[in-house]
Amino acid sequence: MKKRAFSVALVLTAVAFAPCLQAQSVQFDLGLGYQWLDVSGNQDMYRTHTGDKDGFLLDSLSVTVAGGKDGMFDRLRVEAAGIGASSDNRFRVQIDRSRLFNFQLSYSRADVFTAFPGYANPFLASGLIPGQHTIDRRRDALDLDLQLLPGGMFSPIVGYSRYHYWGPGRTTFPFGQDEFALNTELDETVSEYRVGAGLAFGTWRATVLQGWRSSDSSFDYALVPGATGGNNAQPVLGTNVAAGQLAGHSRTIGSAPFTNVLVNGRLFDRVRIVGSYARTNGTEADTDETFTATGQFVSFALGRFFQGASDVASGSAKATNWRGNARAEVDITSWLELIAGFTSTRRELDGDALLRTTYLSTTNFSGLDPKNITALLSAATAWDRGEDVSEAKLVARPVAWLSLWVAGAWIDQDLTIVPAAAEIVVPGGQGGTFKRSIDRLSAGADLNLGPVTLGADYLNDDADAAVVRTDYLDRDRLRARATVKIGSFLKVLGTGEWVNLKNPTAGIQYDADVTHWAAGLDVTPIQALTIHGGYDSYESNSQVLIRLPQDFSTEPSIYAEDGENVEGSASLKLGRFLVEAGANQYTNRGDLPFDLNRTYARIDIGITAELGVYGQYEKREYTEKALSAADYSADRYGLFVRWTSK
Amino acid sequence: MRSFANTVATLGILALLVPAVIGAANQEQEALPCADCHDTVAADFQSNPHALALGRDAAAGAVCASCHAGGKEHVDAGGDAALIRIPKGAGGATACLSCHGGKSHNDIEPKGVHATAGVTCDTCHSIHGAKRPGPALLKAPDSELCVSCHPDVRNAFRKPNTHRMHQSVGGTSKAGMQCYSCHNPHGRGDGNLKQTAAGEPVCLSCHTEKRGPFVFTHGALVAGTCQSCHDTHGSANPMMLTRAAVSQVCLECHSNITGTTLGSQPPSLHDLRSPRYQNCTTCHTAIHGSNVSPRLFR
Repeated sequence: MKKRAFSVALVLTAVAFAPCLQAQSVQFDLGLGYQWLDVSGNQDMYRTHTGDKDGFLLDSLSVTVAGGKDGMFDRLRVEAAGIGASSDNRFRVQIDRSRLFNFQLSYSRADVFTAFPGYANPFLASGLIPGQHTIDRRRDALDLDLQLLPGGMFSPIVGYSRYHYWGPGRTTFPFGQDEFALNTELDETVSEYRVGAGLAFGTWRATVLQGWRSSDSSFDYALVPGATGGNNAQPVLGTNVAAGQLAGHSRTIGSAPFTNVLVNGRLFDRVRIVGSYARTNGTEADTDETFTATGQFVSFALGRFFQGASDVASGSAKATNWRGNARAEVDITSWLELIAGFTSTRRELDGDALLRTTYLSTTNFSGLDPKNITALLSAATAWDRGEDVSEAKLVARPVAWLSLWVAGAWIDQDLTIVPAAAEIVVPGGQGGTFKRSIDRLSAGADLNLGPVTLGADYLNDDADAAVVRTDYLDRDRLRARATVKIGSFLKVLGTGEWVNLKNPTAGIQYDADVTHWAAGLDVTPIQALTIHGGYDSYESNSQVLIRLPQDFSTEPSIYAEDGENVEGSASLKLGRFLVEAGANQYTNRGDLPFDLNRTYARIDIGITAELGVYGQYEKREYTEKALSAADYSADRYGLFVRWTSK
Repeated sequence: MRSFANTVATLGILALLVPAVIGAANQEQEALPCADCHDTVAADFQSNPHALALGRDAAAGAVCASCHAGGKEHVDAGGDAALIRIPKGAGGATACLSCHGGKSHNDIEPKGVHATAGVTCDTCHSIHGAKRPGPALLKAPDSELCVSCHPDVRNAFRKPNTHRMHQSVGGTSKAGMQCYSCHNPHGRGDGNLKQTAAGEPVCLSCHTEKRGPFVFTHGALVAGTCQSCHDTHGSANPMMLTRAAVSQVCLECHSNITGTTLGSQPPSLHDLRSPRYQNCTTCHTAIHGSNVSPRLFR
């Protein structure tokens, strides 16, 4: 794997440099080396948080080639980073030639790894980690876009994207009055083609894009070896529920044609009109799934024990989504402007599913009446969500150093849900029509007084109803910012945000507060030295009444987060010697108290003007107050060669 | 194999289209001797993406004149600085937008949030660029520029559960996500969030498996957004959830006490004191939606 990563890095480097042979000028930066990890404690947790690995690493590559007046292109830029021992790999090529074409290719690969010790883990008290929901997958994304620029009114656009998400994971499956841990394998590919054009008529510009997306996803699962006993250690009606075998396969095929239109232009000298429309028409997703199970199970729905099951299910969902926006931007005077617009969004879905489950070798709870039973479930669902937003904003700049604005938005939401009977757990609240209107008023001011800039804005939302319990009826938000900048010597910055959300309705009693303020200080006493300091305080408190499912009593659900971050760093450059070092300490004293401390250093030594070496070090320590099984301490070292063109 | 064929076919079409438009004419521009005096700027400007903006046959100084009006008068007056227009601030943005504005949904909005707050093109971009211009001629590399004004966001990424971010935003790799992966700094609207080409929320551009549509959709996806349950910048909680306990995330909506809101009461037997039931998604694994399980079991 390490050799492969190194080979890929070398090939990318070679590909990037190939066009340089005939180029007029070339600029490049390359950092290539090796990275080591030393992790003690929960290595899965470290990987969940950072994704770092041991091995060769193309830290960064940047090549810019100017093609010159006789070249095929004006400018070619190749960038790559993280190839090898990083959870994220990126590669990007941009080639353009003025008035001819603009081409972009980007490719990325990301490791998607999650293995929390306490998440979905009914056996945590027994010391079994990680939890039962883990993934170790990868996500590839390729995007190609080409716009031809022949001049005149028509510029063709073509594009292609391909996403691939695949790999193993672990999940659980509730069946027969127990939950069983499963190994899973997901493989999903999404392809997207785009064709369109940029259009120009006088002062008017338009972009029309038609796309076609298709997806193919398969999901396989099978009982984790040794997990036959499930999560429930207690017998159910005297029967120890257990699975001898449980496995299934699911495949989903999807398609989504979409249209995207953007138009903008000047109606008169002082009026700019913008319109946009995006529509996915008849998006479809069809799923076929089968699973089989053998063992000892219980079904309260059937009122029987059973020894296995065979299930065939199919589902088909079709959706149409669109969003249209039109607005006018009017320069009333040289210092006063009005922006007014209307946005309408609609999402519609119809779905149906047919589930056929055959329960094998069933008996009633007395152990009598043995037989197989087939249960058929036909379900149809529908939902329709609409949102209309009318908005207006008035911006005034009476003097060059002052900007004032006031805005209003009037939002109407409606949601109709027709659930299938099988979705309804307890009647009420799972279907019907819900309407909500929000009146939003906001205002702000920005002052630019040379070295000092100040800004503040206030927003109030007043809603007439809540669709879900965590919807507010009243929201207030105040934000402020101040900056003092004295040349390149000093920059002091502070921001603050205060948010309050409320729904005092009896039975909901939702009240949430967020107070978040941050400050930063950057000092550059001499050009070679920069010093940074920062402080951040994030406090969140919320409560809302909930009903406990075990006894239907009510109590407030209280959540608190009290985070504080302190950080400092410095950078010193003396000739060909550069050293950067810093540290930060994040402490949370809320519902999930933890400390996350990070220290890092980077030393770069130039051997020649072009060639140098640099070393990187990072220490990361994570401790949870309530779950030491999550803790880790990680040291990451890297040694790299740097090659930079003059 | 089919995907490979598709890729080859697409590249082939692209290759055929490029030569078809070669030979497009360039408009004639007036020659100005800008480089005679501004030799340092002119020398560095050769590596600037703007250098060939008007085509290869553009007259000397034509690119300068395309942004700096009054060049002839400035030259005729022997270099009187008062006669040449220097695009700066909100007015300067007009010059930039004459070429850069309104090409796509994720493009530049002249009345965007930053513009309204007095953040103009030259606040972030070095238009002339240096000898080694960075991507998009940004004054600082990567996302450093964003967090230099948004320290609260920088610190949100100091929390343990975040997207895998770029080094400049607290990540460990130079390949990590950048602010502009999700946000359009030139945009308008709540959070300046980007959209996919199909007009969907930007989250779905990576999390394709959550796209659906689903026969049995979790209502949170319809009545709310991804942020209803997830803190996307950074979270103290696993899976970037808004609450430390999964049951809390769920029950705050699924407690039908008033009878007027969406989300019904789960049945009894879900005893939250038992570890089996504290994580609702242990059973409701397909929490974003399912085509075959009404209760989102698979």
